[in-house]
Amino acid sequence: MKETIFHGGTIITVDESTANPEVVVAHDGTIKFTGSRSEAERTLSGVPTYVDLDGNCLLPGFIDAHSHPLWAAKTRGSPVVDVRPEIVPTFDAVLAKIERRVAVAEPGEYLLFFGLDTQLHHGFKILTREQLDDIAPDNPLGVQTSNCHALYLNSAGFEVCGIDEKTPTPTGSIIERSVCGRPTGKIAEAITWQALEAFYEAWGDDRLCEEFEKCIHEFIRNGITTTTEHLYLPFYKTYYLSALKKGWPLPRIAAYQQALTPDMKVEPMNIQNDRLWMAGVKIHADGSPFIGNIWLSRPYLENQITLVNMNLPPGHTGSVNYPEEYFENMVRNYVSQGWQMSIHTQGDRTIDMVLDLLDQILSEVPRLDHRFRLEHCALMRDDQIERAIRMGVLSSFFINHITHWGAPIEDVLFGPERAAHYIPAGTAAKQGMRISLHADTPMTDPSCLELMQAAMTRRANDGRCLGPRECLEVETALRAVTIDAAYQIGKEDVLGSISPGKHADFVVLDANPLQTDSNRIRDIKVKQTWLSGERVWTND
Amino acid sequence: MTDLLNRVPIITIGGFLGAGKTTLVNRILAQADGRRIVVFVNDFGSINIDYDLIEAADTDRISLKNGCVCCTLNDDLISSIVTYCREDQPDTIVIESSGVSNPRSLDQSIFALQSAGHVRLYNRIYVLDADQFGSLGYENTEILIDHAVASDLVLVNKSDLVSDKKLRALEATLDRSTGDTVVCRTTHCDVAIDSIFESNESVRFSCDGVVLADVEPVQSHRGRYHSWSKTVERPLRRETFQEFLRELSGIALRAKGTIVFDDDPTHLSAFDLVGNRMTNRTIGNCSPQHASKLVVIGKSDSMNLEELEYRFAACLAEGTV
Repeated sequence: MKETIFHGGTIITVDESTANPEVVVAHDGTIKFTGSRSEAERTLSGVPTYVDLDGNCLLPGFIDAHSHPLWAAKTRGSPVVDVRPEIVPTFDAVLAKIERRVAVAEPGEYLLFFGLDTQLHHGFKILTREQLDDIAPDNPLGVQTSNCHALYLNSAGFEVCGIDEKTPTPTGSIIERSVCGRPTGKIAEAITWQALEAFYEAWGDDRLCEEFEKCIHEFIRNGITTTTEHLYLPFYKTYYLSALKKGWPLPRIAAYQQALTPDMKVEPMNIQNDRLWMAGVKIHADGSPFIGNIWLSRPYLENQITLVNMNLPPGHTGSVNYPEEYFENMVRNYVSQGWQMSIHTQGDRTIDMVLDLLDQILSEVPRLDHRFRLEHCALMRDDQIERAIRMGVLSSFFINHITHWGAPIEDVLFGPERAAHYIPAGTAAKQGMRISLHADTPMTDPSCLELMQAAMTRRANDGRCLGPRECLEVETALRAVTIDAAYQIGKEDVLGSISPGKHADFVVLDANPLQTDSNRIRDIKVKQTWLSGERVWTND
Repeated sequence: MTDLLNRVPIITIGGFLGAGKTTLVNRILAQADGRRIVVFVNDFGSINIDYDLIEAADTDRISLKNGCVCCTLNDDLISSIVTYCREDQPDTIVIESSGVSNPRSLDQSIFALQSAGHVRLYNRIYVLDADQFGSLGYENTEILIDHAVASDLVLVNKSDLVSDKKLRALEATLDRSTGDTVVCRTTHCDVAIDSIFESNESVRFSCDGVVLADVEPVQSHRGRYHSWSKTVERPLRRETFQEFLRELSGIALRAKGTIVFDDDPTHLSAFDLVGNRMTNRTIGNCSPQHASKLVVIGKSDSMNLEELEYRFAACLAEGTV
């Protein structure tokens, strides 16, 4: 294979030791050289291929440190109907859309809707099983919330998911029931994702593969060359292997297996030189702030949305997903197997509990380079950031909460003081943590430029800024979607910067993000994406 | 940065193929009342029929060809608008998007221009063909509703072709689905000009914070729609061509063009086919050498381009060059 020389543009290496090179040379999927053109040409083994950047900007391929590409294909891919508030503005409009879909459904056809939003759908009312039965008496029907953590089902939906009054509520899940134990419509947390599998299975593998290919394309056209599959389950492997076999431009995938019980087998693997590997184990310590399933030291605000729409009791401070002992058992088990832990934590009391447990485990069995991760970190306190840094614990921040739900976070859920430090990426970075950012696709769409802009401006969709002190500098934001994200997934030796010896994964942008107004970072165009030295996408 | 009120207002006009967007543009131009209006026209085809059909007097028409403003052409659109705002500021900019555009993608470009201080998004109008709506299947009507939601004013156009009962049902669907959007019945887009230039002013002036939707993942419509266009510098045989159009009506979503017929080679005719409804009119004098142009848009799974080419070739009058 010929050497490839990238020249004629700005090259941002995100590596101080190779800063501002004139050219980059890639060979056999690896970066061979960065530096001056004359020196590069002296070291060539044959006639190279020249890639003229034409004044554009070459960067290391982006890394989104927490995502679900395959699961996104399941969750949002056709025939799932998109009812997110960006598309369908009111609760009544959601019902109208559901009714129109039901009107053209075949008898028995499985129907799913994604994106019901307690905070953003104006006029929201809790959906009941009876209401959904009236709309769709003959079809299994489910409506998933935009935060992915809850699902409303009709009777036929409960039936195909195998949930009835006799079904015990699994540890870590919620089934809302009447006094006699009959499920009333809403289920939440882990059982949601298991129940949805009944719908995905009914639609078959062809549908899933088609939607998976589209989803892969979304990552690649946004310049994302590495991401994760958080909530990986062993049966996912088939789909990933099939994607690689078909030659789809699959971004590199760090798999974090979903732990539901302490005794699941986690298979060590690294397929095709870092295209798919088992990075660690993911556990949900708590759930979503948008449905009240997080554990807080101070209660939610009290208003129409929290008390009525979300149906929270006054003074609600939430709770964790699993009984403490069960959770400890899971974490201890997977830590003892040597896995990196990636723990979903949103509420500050949850973070206290997790840090206490990790501290305890590490004091018993010290581990130097554990890189334990806390995911999302909505209400992490300053003292917890300091403590995490001391312990070597890392935060991956779901910064798009600010852009998509900034207004209700401040006005409805937590008030201005907590909103100003919500997702405290700025404090964590200033204190010296190597942070990462993520879009948590399918919850929000994959784009590392959007993540950078969100973290740099903290602007909600209505224009307000939530906590200017937590805004990131552009260099930190860029590191959080390149080298520091690579560090969090344990691959900083081969990914995340343009440095000799690393994989030749690049993104070509039409503007230099380091010199772009922070409010316009997301408007920068991705021109090309390169994976393992091959151009896998171009917008020409 | 220029004060928002002093910036050039942008009016966008969206709508499915054949809904009446060009009619609305012409109506706006006819009532411009001294305003200098720049119109950006975006046809989804390599010949810009809409561009030709716009009855421009003192108006600048900017043709955006070979794509759709929500996909590849966005860069051209943005740079042209910036140039106009800097060098030759008009009173209003009107963008007629192609019939397959996702209006949310266009919004994002205009909001970017607005945040850069160039323009202000003033009014987003969606033209909906009431007659066509009833004959479309579920998937297409859902696209129309999703697109109508992303506008400030929906014109339920061609309302004269639909029964009152059907109109009321359509309006009820739109009312329930669109939240704050204003819905208005029209015939030939006969909307009062004041409602376009003045409506929703308070909404638009505070739109810095409007909720932006994520752009639909499909970057290009090229996979879903075929666009076939033709320019021929010889007259067409009227009867064969009409037969060709009758066959097209079952296949194409939309076809339109300007044609010279061999039995009347000094007049230019325009035709417009939407679903199975066709309109013809003579639009002016021309020389027999004047080119005939047409563009056909259809779903890629139902429109066979080779067959179209073959059938169209049969319409060409013999012995002329």
